[in-house]
Amino acid sequence: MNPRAGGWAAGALALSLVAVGCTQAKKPIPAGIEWNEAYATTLADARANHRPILLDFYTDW
Amino acid sequence: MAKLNAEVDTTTAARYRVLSYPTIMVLNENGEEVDRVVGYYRAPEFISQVQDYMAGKNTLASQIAEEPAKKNDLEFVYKLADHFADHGLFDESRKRFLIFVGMDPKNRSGRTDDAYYRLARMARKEHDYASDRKYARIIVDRYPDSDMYKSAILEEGQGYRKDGKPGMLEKARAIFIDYAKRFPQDEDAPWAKEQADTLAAKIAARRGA
Repeated sequence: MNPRAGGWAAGALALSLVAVGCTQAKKPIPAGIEWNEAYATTLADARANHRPILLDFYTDW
Repeated sequence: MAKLNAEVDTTTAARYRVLSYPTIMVLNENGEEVDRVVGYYRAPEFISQVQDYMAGKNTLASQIAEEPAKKNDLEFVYKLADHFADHGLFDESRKRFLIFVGMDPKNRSGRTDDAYYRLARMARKEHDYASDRKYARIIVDRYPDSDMYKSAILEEGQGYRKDGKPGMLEKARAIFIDYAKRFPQDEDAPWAKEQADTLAAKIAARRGA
């Protein structure tokens, strides 16, 4: 395995998030993903809708 | 769903012990961790991991429960070691990687070299540079045909470079110079050369100080 490999999959990852959202839907999914940018809002949404949370920790490096 | 810049929202990143990026966490509705996906994966693999987690499959907790029944299963031991590392549980991870290399010293699985490399990297993360070098050296000495061979040489160099003890910078520099000479066409050769030059300047500055 090449430990320096990686970085190519950012696009694939974004696609995969859409797909996960679709397959796990408990209520209609809006077109495109509405990403929260605050943890507290995300938690409140999840509790209100009884849905699990996907948290994407990224960086701008 | 949320996208959080872990370098900005350091409180949340620390709460979930996020150690590297990207880390995608699956939480229940109360914000408790179900599991995490660390690093880049192809979309189908990523989706299947997240779906497994949501079904309670292949989570760290479920693998820990399976361990007694699967402790002779090489692939399982590696996966568990890997999973502990993703969660930052390095002691637990190290224990399984060491069991793995003990079970497969001849590298029949083709992953013993990877396991030693993981052990080296974990040691460096924990600032245990002597262990970092030790594990990297094992790859170089025992598995010269490994595709981790060159990475292990560079890892040993880094293990010397990061170590503050006297004479270590010189050793690191020698390794990087040697690397650039042995593998001039390698994609990491320019980087090794740059490391050697930076180290030369550091060594000179220390002598002058």
